[in-house]
Amino acid sequence: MSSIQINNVTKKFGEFIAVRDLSLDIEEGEFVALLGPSGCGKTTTMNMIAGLEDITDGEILFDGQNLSDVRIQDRNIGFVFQNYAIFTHLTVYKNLSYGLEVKKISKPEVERRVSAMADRMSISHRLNQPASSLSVNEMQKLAIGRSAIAEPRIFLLDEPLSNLDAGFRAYMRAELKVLQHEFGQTMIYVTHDQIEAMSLADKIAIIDQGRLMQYGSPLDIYNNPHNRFVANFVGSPRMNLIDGELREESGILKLMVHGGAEIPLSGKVKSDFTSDSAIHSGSLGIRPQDIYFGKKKKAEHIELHGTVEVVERVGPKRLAYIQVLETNFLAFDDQDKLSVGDEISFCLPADKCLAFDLQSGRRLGEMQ
Amino acid sequence: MNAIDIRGAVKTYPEFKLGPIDLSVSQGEFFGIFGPPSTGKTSILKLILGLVRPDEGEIFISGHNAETMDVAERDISMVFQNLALFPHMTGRENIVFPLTERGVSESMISERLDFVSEVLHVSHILHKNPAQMSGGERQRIALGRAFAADSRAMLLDEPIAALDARLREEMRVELKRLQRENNQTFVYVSHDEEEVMAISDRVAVIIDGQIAQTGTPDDVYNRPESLAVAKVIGSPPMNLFEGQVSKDAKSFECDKFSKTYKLESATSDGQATLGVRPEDIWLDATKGNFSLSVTISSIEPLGGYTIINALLDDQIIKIRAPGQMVLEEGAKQDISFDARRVHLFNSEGKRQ
Amino acid sequence: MNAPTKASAGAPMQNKPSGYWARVAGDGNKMGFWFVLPTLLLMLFIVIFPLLMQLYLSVTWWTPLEGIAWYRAWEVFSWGENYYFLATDPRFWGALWRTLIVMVFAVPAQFFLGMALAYLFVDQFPGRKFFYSIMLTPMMIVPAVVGLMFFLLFQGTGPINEHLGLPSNFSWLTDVNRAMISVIIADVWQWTPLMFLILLAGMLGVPSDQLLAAKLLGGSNWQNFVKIILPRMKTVIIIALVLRAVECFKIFDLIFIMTKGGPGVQTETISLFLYKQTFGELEWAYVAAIGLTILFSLSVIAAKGLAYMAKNNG
Repeated sequence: MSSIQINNVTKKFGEFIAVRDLSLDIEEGEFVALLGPSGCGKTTTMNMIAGLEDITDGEILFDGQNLSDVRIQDRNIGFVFQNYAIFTHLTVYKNLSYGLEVKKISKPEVERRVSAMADRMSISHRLNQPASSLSVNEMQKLAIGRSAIAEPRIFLLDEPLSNLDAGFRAYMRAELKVLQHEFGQTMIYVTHDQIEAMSLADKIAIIDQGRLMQYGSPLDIYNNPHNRFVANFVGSPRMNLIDGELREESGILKLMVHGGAEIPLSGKVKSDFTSDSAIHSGSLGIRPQDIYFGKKKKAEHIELHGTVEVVERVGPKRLAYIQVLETNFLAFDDQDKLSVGDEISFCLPADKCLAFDLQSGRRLGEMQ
Repeated sequence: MNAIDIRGAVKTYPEFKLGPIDLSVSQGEFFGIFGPPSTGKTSILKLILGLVRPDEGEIFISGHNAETMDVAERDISMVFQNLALFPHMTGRENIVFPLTERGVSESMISERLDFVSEVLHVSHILHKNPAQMSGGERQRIALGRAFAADSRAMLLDEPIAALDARLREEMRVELKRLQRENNQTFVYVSHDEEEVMAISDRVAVIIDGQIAQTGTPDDVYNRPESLAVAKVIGSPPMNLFEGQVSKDAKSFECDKFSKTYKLESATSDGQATLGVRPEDIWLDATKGNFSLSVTISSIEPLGGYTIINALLDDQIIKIRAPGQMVLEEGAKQDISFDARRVHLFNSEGKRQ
Repeated sequence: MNAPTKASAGAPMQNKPSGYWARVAGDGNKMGFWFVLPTLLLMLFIVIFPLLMQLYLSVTWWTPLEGIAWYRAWEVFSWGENYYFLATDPRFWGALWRTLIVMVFAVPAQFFLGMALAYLFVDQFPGRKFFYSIMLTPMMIVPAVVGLMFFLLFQGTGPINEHLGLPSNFSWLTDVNRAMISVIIADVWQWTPLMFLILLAGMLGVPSDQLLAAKLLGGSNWQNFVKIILPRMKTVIIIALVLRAVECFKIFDLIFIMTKGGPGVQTETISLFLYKQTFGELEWAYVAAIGLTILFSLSVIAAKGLAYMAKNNG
């Protein structure tokens, strides 16, 4: 078990900069998710931690120790590949025992540990079968077991759930969390699925275009996105982000949206936007569950009128797409009342709205 | 008149039997077909398209028996999961391909092209080759090609499965809007339950080659007709408790429950399964009429809501609670069920 | 079992006889059959006809000197005499033995050299492309030219003796033992690249993430080579070995130019023996019998090898 310090790491492939000046502190025993869209540099970051990629600039320390001169074989890092990289020509037993046998551990000891791990992963009944005969779900378990058996100092998982069907994925999510508690190991988990990251990780590092956008606990990231990218990326259904020009008309600050919609700003969101006088265009963010229908309940809330464009069932809720001129708002239809074509009023509570600078994407005003 | 009617169609494969399938899709309907992987969804599309002929039963296209119609005569277009764009052609050439193939006049082609590129917002990528396009752009071109033909109905086989989550949400709404504005008939296949439920006017749930249920998404979600449907619809899945309905058919007994569950109406006694969706469990003993004590196992904070994994005996119960909350792992918690939304299935898995 | 495993993939297979012809000709795919037919007929003519002709001649005494056309060879019918003679011909057994010697020394040498080179070339290194094309040149050269090259190299006053500081009367090609060694060296030089090429392709086919996984689990390069790479290359290795072993029966130009099979018959392999019987002794019926015997034996060996392969790949 190790802590990991990533200090100002940069990775270039020729001219292309895959990771830019990235720093992360991961404490011993922590479960950290690297989250970002495909091609953002999260997998490269993980490969650098594992030693599969050289670091162009900066350093990675394990318990304060730099391992860059240590061979991959001797780093003792557990790694679960996206497609599991099961040795399909060997039996399940031989897969599990590989990491022990190459270290010349005595045969009875290998047998004891393999059977314990097979029990834990509930694949004991398949030990003597060829690994190629396993189902995807069992391969997943075998891949985790094979890495865990060598008791690595850290555990890296590259999108381990992406090949599973929905039902088993939900089960495996809960199982992984239990395993992490049992192993007590530092785990780093790469994913592009924000729901997976939210539900599993102690901390999430959101990466975009090789840059760290935010690092914090799931709820911290959800409630307090530091920039527009994080606000857009985290949350399902997504946050409404309304982009426009800030303009003052007869004493009222308005967000003028392309297509003609005007959103009068008031209360906290207004003071957030005005906190930096250099800002001329902004993005207003509001989560669908914060929008309510009908007349405004407080003077400072922002009341808008629109047409219901589409109503979708998303899980237990119905999600309405409300169109105001050319701008769409997502809101939950809590009472199952709306139908397509309805003209309705809805309100954005000013204290729940977030303000971003459109140019830099930076969050404006005070964090909650 | 229905756009597509399938009556008692059966198709036997060496290791798999599809059907009998009975379904009808009305003109201008967005019809979803959902089922776990390998349950015969794509085979149904092939039957409609005419790529495969049924061993038994009949298929009607716009009221005409399709038995003697070949693929071209059926006039149905399809968007494939892997898009099947022609890599050596530009976006424009891909879109007009079905028209030039049929020898449609130049003026007609440019009219259709203008229409398609406007509704799909693809004017700016028409000159690119598929290799130069992003996933979403390729998707649009594939839709454009299917749209250009102006066919009777469109079949879509997991058309957006390859896109990332945000883009999928966007395309979902866009597809729906497109379908409605053009009053097109869509048959949409996916193994993503959330996607099909969100997009469709009506849904058919396919399990093991059979239609398990057909209805509006609200219906299928709120009143699953069988245990099999209840298991595949909803995420996280419905909590299921196996037990017995008492002789007087007034209560349900389960080893894991500390008391019996009073039934409001049950029709038969014997083996049964009680189902409760995660959002229909309250973290409050007094709210519902039936309460249990569970142990909190883990918390998944998802921002807008929270998933709580709790242990009842050795069974994991998933609870979906609104908002954000902090619960101590290992702590005892009283819960109760929303009695109006409890589902009961008999020993054959039929809804009671 | 050609049945589709995924039903939703819905391959248009029916409950009809399975197997190759069902796939080619069945299921409304008859078009394909008609396309293949002309080629099939041509193949039949090219392969089957000469084979039958050879079989026919091998049971006669016929030679071109007989004065009758080959199809009338039944007039000098010999029953199995040619085969009996073959079984007791010391020159044939000698040639077979020498062919096996070439096989036993040349093929393993080519295999180990090829494997080592493949392991070297599986990773990127500066100048890889350049060395790769250099590596493949011997294979591209016409065998007769290779024969000539080595003929010159192994002359008493040639560069090899000069380099090794050997006297000019130290002969390679005319020495009873060293002639064979020279031939084997030449063959190894020419055909190691082919072995290298096949093995490299096989090695590149080993999933790289499995190798990485093995490395991350702490396996040394040697352990990973033995436990992951080699077993996964089994099929390719068998193909390469069978291919080269069969080719040993066909070495001709190289030996013909270097030693003409000499000194004496010291480097006379099967194909040289056949050549001499055909154009030296004009014993065509006898040659037909030898040819058929070798064809039959090689087919059995190749079939065994392929069956072994099929068994191991389930």
